[in-house]
Amino acid sequence: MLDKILDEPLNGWLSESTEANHIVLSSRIRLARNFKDIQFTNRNEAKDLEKVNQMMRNVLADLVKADTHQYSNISFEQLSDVDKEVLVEKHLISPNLADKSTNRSLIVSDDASIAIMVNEEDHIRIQAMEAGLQLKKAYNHAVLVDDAIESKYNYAFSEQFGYLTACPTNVGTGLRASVMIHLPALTLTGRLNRIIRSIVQLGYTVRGLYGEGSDVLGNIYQISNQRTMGISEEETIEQLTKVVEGLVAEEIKCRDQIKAGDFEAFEDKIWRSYGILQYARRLSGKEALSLLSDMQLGMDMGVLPAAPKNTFNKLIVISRPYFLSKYAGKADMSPAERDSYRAKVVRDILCK
Amino acid sequence: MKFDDFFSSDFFGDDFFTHMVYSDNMVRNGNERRCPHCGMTFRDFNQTGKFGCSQCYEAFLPEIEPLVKRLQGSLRYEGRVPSRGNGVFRTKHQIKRLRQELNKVIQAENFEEAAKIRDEIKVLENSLGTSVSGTDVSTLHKDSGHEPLSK
Repeated sequence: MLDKILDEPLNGWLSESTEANHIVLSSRIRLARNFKDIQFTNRNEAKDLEKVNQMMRNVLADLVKADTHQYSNISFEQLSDVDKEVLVEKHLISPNLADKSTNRSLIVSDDASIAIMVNEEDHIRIQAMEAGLQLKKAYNHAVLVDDAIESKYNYAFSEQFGYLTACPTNVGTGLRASVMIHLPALTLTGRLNRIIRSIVQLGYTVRGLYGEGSDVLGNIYQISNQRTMGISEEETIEQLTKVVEGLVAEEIKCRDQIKAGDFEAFEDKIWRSYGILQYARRLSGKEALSLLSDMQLGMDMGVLPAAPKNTFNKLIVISRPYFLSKYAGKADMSPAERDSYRAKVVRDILCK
Repeated sequence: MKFDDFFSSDFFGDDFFTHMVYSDNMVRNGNERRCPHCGMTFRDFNQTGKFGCSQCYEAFLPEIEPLVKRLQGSLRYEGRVPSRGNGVFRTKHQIKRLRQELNKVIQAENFEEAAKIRDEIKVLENSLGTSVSGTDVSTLHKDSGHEPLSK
């Protein structure tokens, strides 16, 4: 199962369905949980880390019973550095966790819609992923897993603070709901800055494709809640869903304005980007994502002929450096080799 | 603020907690107290931003309350409750949620639904052995600006 998850550009959950307009790429839920009477990861010695790993291995059968998916346990000792980086690129583990090589594990469902990081900052971080804007569905899936684990082991929980976490920014619900959203028109017209400022003021975080401190690549943004106290899980999800729906409406409005303006100039930009994607011999990761974003916008707006479903999502993943070298079957690629191979894969997929 | 600042700022850097709520003096002088369970001091926490174990939340309660209030804007927990462990707390929590729901349906003048919810609250309160005519329910009626429901 590990090979399948590492080698396929799109795991089951992401290839399933996407929105017609491709604006919201995916939804993600993360629940931070710790077990009662075991110290938090940062103060735990190998023996206790292993105990947590073992507890989670014991839970596997219960997960299979509760969910309709197969689950497997992947211990970090069996992963190469490239494997771990690919898991980061696919958002299955955090960069933080990828730095570790021992006493960590990942529990993952067959379609990778559930990925549980074991011995990250908290004992476990349950992540549930869905394509498009489906926070509620992802949350329900995470809760099902949460309940299955909790029916076997007690969590660290207090009446006053809720679920107790290593960092007080997560204490309470331990819930981080986030949405990956493609906002090329708002970015292009410069209107996004102000909108982001107001979203941040409302208590949300806006980040790039790969979380904290990461660059914005391909006009893809990650929006997530910050508060975990004084708000229920349902409200968190409802409110974030509303914020995202608002953003989608703004993006569509902006696209309509582009249509009403100098449309040929816009078409020219899109076709040029498409031309480069089809004919370039070397593409950097950053350039590829930026051109792919133009391509997707052009397809959404009927400028370019539509590509098969999921082409954009698939190319985003394939363009990432570690996945690309895995895809090439070559561990040590020079930057030039990588750019050359990236251009070739993009050409092959687009010109098929 | 430049747009890029949102992405480049290392929001949860090492000094984050130290400078956010507590002055250096306060940390230096005040808190060599240790969590009896994991041995962490509050100063350790200030350096890493992470607690050592769940008991730290009790050990450093006086420091944690203003911190959480500042970070989260609230000290009330409104989320779900594990089904194992303390059954009383779970019931209390359900009652709390039902009261909020009751408030909502009363605002919406859906009195039929309100009566149903009130009955559910009564059953739960009975199971806890507390008074049926809880003052909270009648306060809710006043707060919502509507006449109390007729019995």
